[in-house]
Order: sequence, then C-alpha cells, then structure tokens
Amino acid sequence: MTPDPDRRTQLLRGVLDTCLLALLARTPTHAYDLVVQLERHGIEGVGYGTVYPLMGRLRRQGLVDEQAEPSPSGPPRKVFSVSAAGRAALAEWAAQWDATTSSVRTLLITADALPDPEVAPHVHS
Amino acid sequence: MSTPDSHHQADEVGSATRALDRELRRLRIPRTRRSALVEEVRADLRDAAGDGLTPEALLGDVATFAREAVSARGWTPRPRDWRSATTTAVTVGVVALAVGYLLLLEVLNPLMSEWIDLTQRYPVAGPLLTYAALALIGIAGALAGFARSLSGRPAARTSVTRATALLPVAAALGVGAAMLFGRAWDYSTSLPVVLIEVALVALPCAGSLWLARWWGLRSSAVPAAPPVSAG
Repeated sequence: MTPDPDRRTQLLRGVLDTCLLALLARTPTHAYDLVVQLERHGIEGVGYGTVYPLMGRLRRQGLVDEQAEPSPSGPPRKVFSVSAAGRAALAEWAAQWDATTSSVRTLLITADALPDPEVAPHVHS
Repeated sequence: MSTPDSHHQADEVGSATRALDRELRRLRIPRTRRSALVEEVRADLRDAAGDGLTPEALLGDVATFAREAVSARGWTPRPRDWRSATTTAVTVGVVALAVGYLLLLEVLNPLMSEWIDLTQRYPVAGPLLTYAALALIGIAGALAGFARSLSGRPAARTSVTRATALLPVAAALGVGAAMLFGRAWDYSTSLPVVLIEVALVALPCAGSLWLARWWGLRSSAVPAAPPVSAG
C-alpha cells in the first residue's frame, strides 16, 4: 500500500513547530531557508505557505526573536533565532515527542504491528 | 550581470509582492506592518527564485497566504466589506420577504381557505403565525445573503453566527418601533409615513449586521498565547 500523504501531513502538523525551533536553535535563519532545511531532513511537502505563518505564530508567542542581518543583495534581512522561552519550549516539546513516540512504538511492537528489534530476525536457509 | 532570466524572475517577484500588498491592504493591515511583512516575503521569494522556484509555487493562493499570515500573527483584519455585505443581506431579505408574502398570503392562504374552513375560529393565531413565518423568511433570506456575501472572507462564519443572534432582535425592535410610529400616525399609508416605517425596520437590521461583522472580526483575532513556562 502506498503511504497516504494527507495522513503524513496530519502527523507532522503537531510537531512542525518543534522541528522549526530545533532548526533555529542550531542556526538562526529566515523562513525560506527553514523550508529548504526541512526538505533536506526528509520532511518534504511542507510548503512556505505553512512555514511562514507558523513563524508568525512562534514570534507572537515569544518563542522566536528576530534580528536584522546585512544582506549582500539588498536591504538588511530579518533572521529568526530562538528566544529563552523558545529554548524552554523546545526542551519540553522534544521530551514530549520522545515520550509519545516511545509509547506508540512500544504499543505497536506489543501488538505485533511492528517487528521487535530485541528479537533477532529468523534466517531461513 | 543581469540576464533576461533574472529580469523575468524579478518581474515575477515584484508582481507577487504587489499582489500580496494589495491583499494586505484589502484586509486593512496598517502600512508599517504591511511593509515589514512584504519585505520579508520579498527576500524569501528572491532566494527561492535563485533556486528556480516561482512565487506561485512558494505562496500558492496569495489571498489565502495573506489571510493565514495575518491570522497567525494575531493581527485583526478589517476588510471594508461590511457595506456590501449589509446591502446584499438587506436586499436578499426584502426579496425573500416579498416572495414569502406572495407565497403565504396570495397563494397558500386562498388555497387553504378553500380547503379548510377556519373562519372566525382563530382570529389572532392565524395572522400571528403568518406574520411570524414572514419574519422568519425575511430574516433567513437576509442571513443567507450576508453569508453568501462574506463567503471566503476573514471571520465569515463568526460574523454570520453573531448576525444570527443580533438580526432577529434588531428586526423585532424595528418592527415594534414601526408599529408604534404607524399607530401615532393613525396607520396612514402616505408615502412619507411608509418610508419612515421601512427605515425604522431597515436601519436597526443594517446596524445589527454591521455590528455582527465588527464583532466577528474582533473575536476572530486570536490574542497572543503566553510563552511556555521556562520552569
């Protein structure tokens, strides 16, 4: 069965702000570069039309700061970075994501929906 | 060195940012906020053009993009659409009222009177039910016109919900005022009296629709959420 892209988008929706904060915590940058970085990390199909408004929300929530940075090709450019509150939120959300995915993974393994990595795969001769 | 390709890209970016500015202007976002947002997007569009992406591929529908960017920042869009929405609503309401009148009093009433003889048995309930049904038809028509006119605009649903609560109250007050005025003038059917009676009903209705739009836009602006605790 081919993966359902809508379902993947729904799964990503709740964790996209965490991903953006994580990327910004490593390197302050602007919205388009975040879209490019998401793609590089295999998170495709999240467009600028989603990322840019989300950056607006993170700014409004005080999780992201902005600074003007000189640009070689025009006027100074706004670059986003994670604020102190953003770092706290990132730590909290990353831990929450880890706990949630661990629980779901354990459930799926227990229910035999996923292979158990502890059990060595049986080799057929 | 500039090439025909880079000129074409600059044209595309310029055209997209102008379209974005127009949308933000339509939402009545103040100039300083508008310019800041457009500048940010322009810089991103230039970068994307360097990667071979068109503004359309990046922004999608500009109107939707503008609405979402504005809403995410918690800005209150104030589109100048209340006048057109109110005019449409009042017009559709009047048309619905006229059609309802024709249907109820000119078609159904004679038909029912022919089939069922209720003469003198329901002297109050009959007219009351008829006028209540007429009022409902008019209000439903006005609300449908209001909703249709705001379709796809910011806070459309919230505004219609508010109108659903406010319009019946305004219509009842207007009809009450018109009845009192009519009685004071001995139920005259002279043109000035009738026009004032119509205005006494139409003005509170229009006012309630304006209020519903203002209230809808105001309540749909999400206040900034508090930052996550650092503890």
